[in-house]
Amino acid sequence: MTPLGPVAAGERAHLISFFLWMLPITLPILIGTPWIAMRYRRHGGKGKYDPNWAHSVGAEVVIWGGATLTFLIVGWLTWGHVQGEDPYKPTGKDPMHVKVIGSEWKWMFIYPGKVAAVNRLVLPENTPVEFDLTATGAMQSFWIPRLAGQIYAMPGMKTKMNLTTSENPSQTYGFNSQFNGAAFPLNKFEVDVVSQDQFNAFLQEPKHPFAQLEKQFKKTATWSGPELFEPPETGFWDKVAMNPDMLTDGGAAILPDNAPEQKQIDDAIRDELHVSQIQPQGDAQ
Amino acid sequence: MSILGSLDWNDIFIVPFFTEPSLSTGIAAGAGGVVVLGALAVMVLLTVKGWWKPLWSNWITTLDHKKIGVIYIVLALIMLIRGVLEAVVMRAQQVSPAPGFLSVEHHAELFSTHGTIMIFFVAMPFLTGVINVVMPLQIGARDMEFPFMNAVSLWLSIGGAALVMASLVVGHFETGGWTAYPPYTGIKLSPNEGVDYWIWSLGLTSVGSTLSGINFLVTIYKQRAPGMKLFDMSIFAWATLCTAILMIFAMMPLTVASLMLALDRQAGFHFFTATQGGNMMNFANMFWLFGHPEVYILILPAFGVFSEVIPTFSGKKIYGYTSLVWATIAIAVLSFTVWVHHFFTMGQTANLNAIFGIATMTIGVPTGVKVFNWMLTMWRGKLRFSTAMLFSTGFIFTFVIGGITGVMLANPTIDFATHNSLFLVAHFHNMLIPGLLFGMFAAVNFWFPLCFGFRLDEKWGRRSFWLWMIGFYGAFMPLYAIGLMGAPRRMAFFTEPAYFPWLVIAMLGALCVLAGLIAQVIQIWVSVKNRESLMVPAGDPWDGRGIEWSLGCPVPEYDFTTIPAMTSREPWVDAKEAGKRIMDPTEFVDIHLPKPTGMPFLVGLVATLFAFAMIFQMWLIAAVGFVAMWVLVLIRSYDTDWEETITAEELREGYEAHKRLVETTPQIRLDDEFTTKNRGLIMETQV
Repeated sequence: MTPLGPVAAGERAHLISFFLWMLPITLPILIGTPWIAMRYRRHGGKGKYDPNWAHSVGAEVVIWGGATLTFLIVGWLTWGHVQGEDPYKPTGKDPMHVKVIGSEWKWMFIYPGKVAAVNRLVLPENTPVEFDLTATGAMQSFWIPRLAGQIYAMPGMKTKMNLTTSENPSQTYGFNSQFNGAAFPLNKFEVDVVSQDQFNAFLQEPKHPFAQLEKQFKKTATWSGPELFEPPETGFWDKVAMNPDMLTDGGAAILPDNAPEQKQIDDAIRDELHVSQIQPQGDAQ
Repeated sequence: MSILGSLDWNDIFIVPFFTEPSLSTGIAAGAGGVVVLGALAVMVLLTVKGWWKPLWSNWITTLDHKKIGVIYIVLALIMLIRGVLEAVVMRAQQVSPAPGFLSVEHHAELFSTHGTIMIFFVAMPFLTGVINVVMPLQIGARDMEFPFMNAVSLWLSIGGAALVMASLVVGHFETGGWTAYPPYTGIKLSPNEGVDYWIWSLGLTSVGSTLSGINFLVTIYKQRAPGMKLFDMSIFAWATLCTAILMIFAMMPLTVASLMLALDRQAGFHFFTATQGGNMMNFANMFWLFGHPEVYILILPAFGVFSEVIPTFSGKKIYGYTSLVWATIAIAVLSFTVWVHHFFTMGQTANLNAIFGIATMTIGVPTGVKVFNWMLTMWRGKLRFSTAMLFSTGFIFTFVIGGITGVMLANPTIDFATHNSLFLVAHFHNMLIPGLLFGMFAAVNFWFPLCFGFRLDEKWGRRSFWLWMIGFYGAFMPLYAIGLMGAPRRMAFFTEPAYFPWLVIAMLGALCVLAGLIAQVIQIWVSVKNRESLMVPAGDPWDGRGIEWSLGCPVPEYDFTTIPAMTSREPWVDAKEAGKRIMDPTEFVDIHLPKPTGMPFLVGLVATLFAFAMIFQMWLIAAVGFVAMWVLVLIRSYDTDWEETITAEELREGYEAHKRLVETTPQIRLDDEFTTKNRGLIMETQV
C-alpha cells in the first residue's frame, strides 16, 4: 500500500488507525487466551480452581463497558471519516470531469468536449477529478487502488467518484474488481498522471472518429484497436446511462470453449502475459 | 419443444473433453468422472454388503431427529470434501505459471460452486444436523414438534446438494460467485444453465431451511420439559432459538430474489434488467437482507456449541449465563440492521453508509462480550484439552483476528479500498472457519457418543485440529497481505510478481487444511474400527453438564424413558453432586412416536426432479414433478395410521436396564477420560 494521492492516503491512515483502536480490546484476548490455557490446565497448571465462580459485577461492567467504549470511539471516527471522505464530494474546487462507461471487458473515458479514450486514462497532476460512472452489460467496480477506493459502475445507474491526482507525474493502473466473465483478468486500464503541459499535448493527439469507437465498443471482446477518439456529442453519456443497451450487442460474458470470441480472448491473455513478462511491474500500490 | 428441454450432448461431462481437448476440459471431465464413479462405487458397496435394506429401513425412512441430524452431518462432510478440494485446485491454479491450467470460466465455476457449497451445503446442513441431534435432548423433548416435516427438510436439502453435484456431470454451474448478482447472471450475459442450477439448488435448500427454522422454533416453544423456563435452557438451545427465528425471516428474501431472477431469465420479466425499468440493486438488497442474517445463522449455533464444550472441559459453570443469553439475542436482532455494508460501494449517500457502518460495529459489542465470557469460563477452571476443547480455544484466538478486520471493513472508507479484494476473502474465511467449522467439529467430537455409543479417537482428533489451525493461518494470512496490495478476488491468475511468494504460502496452507480433513476421515475410520474399546454405554463420558448426558449412549429412539424434572438450570449436575449416577424417573406413560415412512424421501426425489427439469427447461417433466410433490404430501395427510406406541412398561424396562448398566459401570476418574477405561459416567472425584 503506497498511495499516490490524498484519498488513498486517507484510506490507508484509517485502516492503520482502526487496527490500532481495536488492539486495546483484542490484545487482552489474544494474550489472555493462551495464558489462561497454560495457567489453568488440569495437569501442571498453577491457577486456583473455583468451579462455581460464574458471575462478577465488576467483570461485567469492564466487559460491557470496554466493548461499548471501543464501539463509541470507532463509531465516532467512522462518522467523521465517511463525512470527510465521501466519494461524492469533490476533493477540490472545480474538479475536472471524466465520464466513464464500463463494459465487457473495457473502459471508455469521455473528457467532455475534448476527447474519448479506451482503456487509457490520462490526468493532469495535482488536480481534483470527478468521475461519473455508468456501465453497459454487467456491473463493474471502478478502482484505481493507488489513487482512491472503488465505486460500482452499473448499467442504468449513475454513480460518482472523486479523487485528487498525485502531486507529481506518476503511472499506475485501474481495473474492474467485480467478476464479469471470460476476460475479467484483462479488464483494466492504464492511468497516467502527467504535467499540465503534457496533458494539453495529450488532448491534441490525433484522434479517430467517434462513430468507429461506438461501433467497435458494442462487441463483447477485449479492446485491441486505437485508444483515442473524437469526443461524442454532449449528452451521450447520459443517454447511455439511461439506455445501456445502445452500447452493447448483448453478447454473452461466458462463452463456450470453442466460440470464436473465446479464441480472441485466449490470444489476448497470452499477449498480455507476454507484455507483462518483458515489462515487469513494480510494487502495485 | 423437445421433452428434454435445452439438454444436449455437449452438456454431458465427458463430451467437451473430446470436442475440445485441454487440461481445463480434462479436469472438468475428471471431476464429473469422480462423481459418477463415486456414485457407482457406493452402489456396488451397498449391493455387495447387502446394505440396501438396512439403509432404507434404518436411515432413509427414519423420522428420528438424531438420525436425521446424522444424515445432515454426513451430507455436510461429503460436500466439505468437495469444497476443500475445489479450494486446493484454485490455489494450485494461482501458483502455476499464468494463465494457469484452468480457463477463466472454469475457475469462475470453481469459486462459485466453492462458495455455494460451503455456505448452503456444508455450513447449513452441518449446523442443522447438530441442532437436530442435540437441541431436543437438551430441552427434554422426545422429538421435533414436526418429525415428518423435519425429514422433508432433510430430503429437500439433499436434493439441492445433489443438483450441485449433478452440475459436474450434466452441464455447467453458475459463474458469478455465490452471490450471483444480475445483470451478470441475467439471460443475456449468462445464457447457459449455470445460473438455473444455482437458483434451483438454492430454491430446494432454502425451503428446507425455512421449514427447519419453523420446526426448531416450535419445538423449543412447545416441547420443553415441564418446569423448564426459557432462562433455564442451555446456551446452545438459546442459540438455536435465535437461529431459528433468523432462518424463518432470512431465508425468504433469498427464495424470493432467486425466483425473481428465474422469472427474469426464463419468463421475460425485468426485475433486475436495466433497460426495462428493472433495478439490479434490488437484487443486492434482497440477497443481503438474507445474506447478513445468514452469517449469524451460521455462527450462532457454533457459539452455542462453544458455550457447552468450554464449561464441560473447564470443569466449571459457564460464566455470565444471562450476559451470554442477552448477547445472543442482541446479535440476532442487530443482524437484520447491517446488510447495506455488503455494498458500501454502490454509491449511497455518506449518511446512509455511515449509519450502516456504525450499526455493523454495534454487533462487535455483544460478540466481544461473548468471547470474554468464554475466557472467564476457562479462568479458574481445570482445563482438559480434548479435541472439542482444542477447537474451542483455537476458535477464540483466531476469531478475534477476524473481529479486528471485521470492524476495519465496517468503516466505509476502508471498505472502498478493500471491497472485492482478497482482504475481504481472508476476513470472511477468518470468521467462518473458526466461527463455524471449528464449532461444528467440536460439536461432532463432543456429542458423537450420543448418536453412536462410542467416542471418537482423540489422537487423530488432535492431529486434525493442529492441521486445520496451522492450515488456516497459512492459507488466509497471506490473502490479507496481498489483499491490501490490491489483489482482487475471483481472479483466475495474477501477473504481479510480488504476490507470488504469498500465493505459494497460501497454497501450502490449503494443502495443510486438506491434510486436516484427511486426518478427520482417518479419525472416523480408526474410531469405527476400534469402537468396542471406545464404547461408553453408561453415557456421560466427559463429566458433562447438560441433561443430554444423563442418558445412556447411544440414546434410545424415544430419547427419555421419563421426561426429566427440571429443578434448576443444570439438573444433571445437581444430581451428580447429590451422589446420584442416574436421574430419578418421573412418571412412566405410554408414548406415541411417528412410524418410519419413505414419503419424505419421495417428496424430496420428485422435488429434485422438478428442479432439474426447471434447470433444463423440460416444462412437461417439471409440471409432473411439481404436481407429484403435492399429491404425495396430500396422500400423507390422509394417512391416519402413522403412529406407533411405546408402552410405559417398555419404558420402565429401558430405565431399569440403564440403571443396571450404570450400577455395574465402575467409577473412573477424569484423568482416565481419554483411555479405554472410560466406559461412561466419569466424575471428577470418587466421593
